[in-house]
Amino acid sequence: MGSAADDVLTAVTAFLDHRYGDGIRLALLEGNDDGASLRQAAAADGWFDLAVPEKHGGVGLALNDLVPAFRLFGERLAVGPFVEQMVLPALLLSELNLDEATRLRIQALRSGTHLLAWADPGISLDWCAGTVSTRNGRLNGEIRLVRYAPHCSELLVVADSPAGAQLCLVAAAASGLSIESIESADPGVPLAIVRFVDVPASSAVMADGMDAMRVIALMRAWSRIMFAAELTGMARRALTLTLDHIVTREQFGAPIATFQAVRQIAATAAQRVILLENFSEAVAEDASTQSADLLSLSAMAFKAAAGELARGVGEDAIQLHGGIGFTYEYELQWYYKRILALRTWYGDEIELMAEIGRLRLAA
Amino acid sequence: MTDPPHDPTLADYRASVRDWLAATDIPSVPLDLDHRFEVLKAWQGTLYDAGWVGISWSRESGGQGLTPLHQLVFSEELARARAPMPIGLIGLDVVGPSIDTYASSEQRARLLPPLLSGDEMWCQGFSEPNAGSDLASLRTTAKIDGDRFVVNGQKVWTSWAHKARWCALLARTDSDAPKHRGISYIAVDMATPGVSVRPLVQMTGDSEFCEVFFDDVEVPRGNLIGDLNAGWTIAQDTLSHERGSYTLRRMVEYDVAVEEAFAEIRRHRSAGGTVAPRTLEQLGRAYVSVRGLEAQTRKTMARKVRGEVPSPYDSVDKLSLNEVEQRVYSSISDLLGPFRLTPHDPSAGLDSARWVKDHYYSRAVSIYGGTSQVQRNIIADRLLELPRG
Ligand SMILES: Cc1cc2nc3c(=O)[nH]c(=O)nc-3n(C[C@H](O)[C@H](O)[C@H](O)COP(=O)(O)OP(=O)(O)OC[C@H]3O[C@@H](n4cnc5c(N)ncnc54)[C@H](O)[C@@H]3O)c2cc1C
Repeated sequence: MGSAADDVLTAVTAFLDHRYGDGIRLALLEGNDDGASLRQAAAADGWFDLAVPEKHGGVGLALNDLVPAFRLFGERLAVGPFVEQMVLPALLLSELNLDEATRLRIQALRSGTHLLAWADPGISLDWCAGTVSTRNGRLNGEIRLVRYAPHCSELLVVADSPAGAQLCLVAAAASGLSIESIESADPGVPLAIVRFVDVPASSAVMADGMDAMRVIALMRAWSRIMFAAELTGMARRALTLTLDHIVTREQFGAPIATFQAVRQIAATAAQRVILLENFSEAVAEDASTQSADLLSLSAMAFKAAAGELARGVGEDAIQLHGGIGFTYEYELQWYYKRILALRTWYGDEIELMAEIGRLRLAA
Repeated sequence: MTDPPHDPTLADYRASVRDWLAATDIPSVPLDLDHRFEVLKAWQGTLYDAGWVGISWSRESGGQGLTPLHQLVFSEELARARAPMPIGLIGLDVVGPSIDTYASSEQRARLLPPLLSGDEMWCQGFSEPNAGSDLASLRTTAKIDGDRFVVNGQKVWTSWAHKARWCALLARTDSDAPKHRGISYIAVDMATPGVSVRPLVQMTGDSEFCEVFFDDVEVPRGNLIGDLNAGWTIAQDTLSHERGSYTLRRMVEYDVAVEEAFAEIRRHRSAGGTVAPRTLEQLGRAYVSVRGLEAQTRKTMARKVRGEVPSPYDSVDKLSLNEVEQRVYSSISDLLGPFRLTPHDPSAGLDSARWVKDHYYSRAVSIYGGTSQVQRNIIADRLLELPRG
């Protein structure tokens, strides 16, 4: 891990220590706080500038320098549109030649008052989240699962056109666009169905054809890496809670950590968490030198492992806590629910393993 | 696989390994165990003469004085070139490093050069019929009689004992001391009268491991490695190598195995063969497992370079290795379906005989070097430092 990554981690840790206490966390997770003030404080702290290229006024860090911070988000259960605000705009600005107006709209996201959401049918491989297509200069269709769309001001859309993939930026207020909030079982993360009825596409297109495919692939790869990093952090926290619990909880006159059945499960969980942490470091380390295809593959492998192992760790953690682990009040359930949510996002392990198999077999 | 960044010397090293391998006759490996042993022993000699054995060992001990990273690069290139590993891995990766650390300089000068060259093979005489996971309860005795030990007892599951010149023997030298404190680590010449070896046939059909009987075997006291009754510490060191360095070599093999499975299925499909729907997921699963192990290995290398061995993380590595090896070979061999029953039928597109044998072999990994349960016990005790009952 480079020193830039260390600096980011230190700053984010200090921020969360100071601003992200149990009260605000619970309010966010329960949906009683829409996250706007936290988002603005994060913007003021410069989070959304970190990976933006210097020529666009950002700090110009590489995305891999943000991976440890995403692990911390997971560990602290910090929920927010961090991929949408810290990763996607940076990629758009550095990978695409945008016209002035579009560039300004993306740059405006850095203030934290404007919020980006990403309508991407690629969030799932085996389930259809919807489609959007461009015909005769108009966008039509729907995407049924869009994170943060209820609060967004800009919407990034992956559409298909007769000439191939298209990446569009549509203002949330655009005519013909409707955003319907739906109940979300991903704690703290609002979801919406986004519908397009003859939304004008002409001024919205940021990239098409091969160029769009390339940037979409990069955005998906980085989303997978960051979600996997969050899963890694959540698994670490579930393990820590478990270790604390098993050395204090006594049964049969001794801490339950003295029982071998308990110790073996804890050791397995520790091995899984350590493997994921090493995986996250290896993927971050390689990202700067890898080809785009290899990056996509590494991202899928890491996300597959993270979804599968974090879920296992979360389930073992609940088991070793006994009844308390099943309560609403104790924090473990939030971790477990967020693990299950992120496990599915951009492919669970089964979808991703099959996709990796398909890609490698075609190689 | 890629080099860790910013180390040009490793890239040069990799290139020199490649050049050498390209210019060298790589032996094909016979199926029959005895022939295989002879071919691979000669191959170890060839590698040794060319300076590719003991890469991370000190020059003083007959090695090349490079780092574990160089060793890993070499293992990777060897696997890439589909060249076999040297046969004497118990000496090279498991017992040898402990001898290098704990033996006297005369012992090292006598024992290490032929260990590296493959002229003298080693076996590891630890497990006994009544001392498996509870190794410290071993009963083989070495009684001091003047300037010699007299060894009596039995070892079991001793890999390559029938081919070995030397045995790293754990024997009880003080039966009154607490069980961990009365054990010594002794190099026993397998040609000594009173040593008899009986090979055991394994699930794979090969006879790699053996029973070894010691009947009034006289061993010079000068063959004691380290101090009298201090053998348990050395045994821990040996086991940590078995859980660590050995793991690295295996990891490279899995990587190649997964690529080979992909290649076989690819050929099968382009020849019009059917590919079961689960194939993609299973192969993807194997791929993901190996990538995870590879990431883990990088951390292990860094730990080794810093000299942090042995460590409870060795058990984390071994546990990961166990799971990954078993996942890789189960995932691939499951793709044979009923054709796993017909070793020479190509209908499933995979080399049935090979993958079934590798799959059988994978069932041993969670047993040798300490079972998975024992590794978890070690993690709970020494890494998580959980209270004991
Ligand atoms: C292919 C192969 C090669 C080998 N090569 C060698 C060699 O070269 N030299 C050598 O010395 N040995 C060798 N071994 C032996 C190996 O180290 C032992 O088999 C191993 O340590 C387990 O001992 P055991 O077979 O007596 O099983 P046991 O110790 O009887 O274990 C049986 C079961 O009980 C479980 N168990 C035992 N104790 C505990 C506990 N405290 N907590 C939880 N579970 C427990 C084990 O995990 C296992 O599942 C080899 C084994 C194999 C399979």
